[in-house]
Amino acid sequence: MRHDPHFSHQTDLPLDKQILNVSVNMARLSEWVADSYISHKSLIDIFIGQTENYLNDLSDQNISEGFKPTLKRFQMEFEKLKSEVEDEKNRLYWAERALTWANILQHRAKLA
Amino acid sequence: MIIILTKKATEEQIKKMCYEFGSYIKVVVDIKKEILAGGATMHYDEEQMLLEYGCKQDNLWGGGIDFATGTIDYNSMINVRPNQENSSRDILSQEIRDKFKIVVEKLLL
Repeated sequence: MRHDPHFSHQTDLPLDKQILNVSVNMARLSEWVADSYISHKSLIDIFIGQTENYLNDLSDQNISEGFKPTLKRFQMEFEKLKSEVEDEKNRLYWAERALTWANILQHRAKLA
Repeated sequence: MIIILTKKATEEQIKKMCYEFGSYIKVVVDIKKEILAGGATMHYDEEQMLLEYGCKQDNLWGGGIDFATGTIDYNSMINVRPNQENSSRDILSQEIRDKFKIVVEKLLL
């Protein structure tokens, strides 16, 4: 089977880039949930699903000991965010939490 | 725990502020008074504390510092201020970013 160079997988990337992809997703999700949840609902669902896949991919890889606590903490927070994303009363709080983790992951990607 | 810093933080204060996110602190900086509030889960709460302290909204900007990597970010929901020509959650003005960084470094690093 020929490997198509136009379709690389997340796990083809170095670990820090994989983490940055998660970070960027969280920033996107934060913006959409805060500003335009209804019009972006389908995208929000897609990107939550993609982020979940990214996290599953990470769990099979050789993460540095320095980064593991951050990843574990984020995985716990992500599960909460996933379950609370449809709560319309707390959208801004959800968005802030997502943005906070986008920032933390961006800072710490190089530790992965 | 939210702490308002008007001078360099002690180790104990930093430890308390790190409670929420383990070595990452969300901060709101008054770039004019050169003080900051840090340690909350939400920038909004830090902003409110500084407003009660006598700060003016226009001088308050949000971001974070990660002690694990020594890096500073300039992202916060409170930074969206069209009337100050900041339409992003990121602090767009290089001048304000520089002032923000100076205060964070002075009080936390």
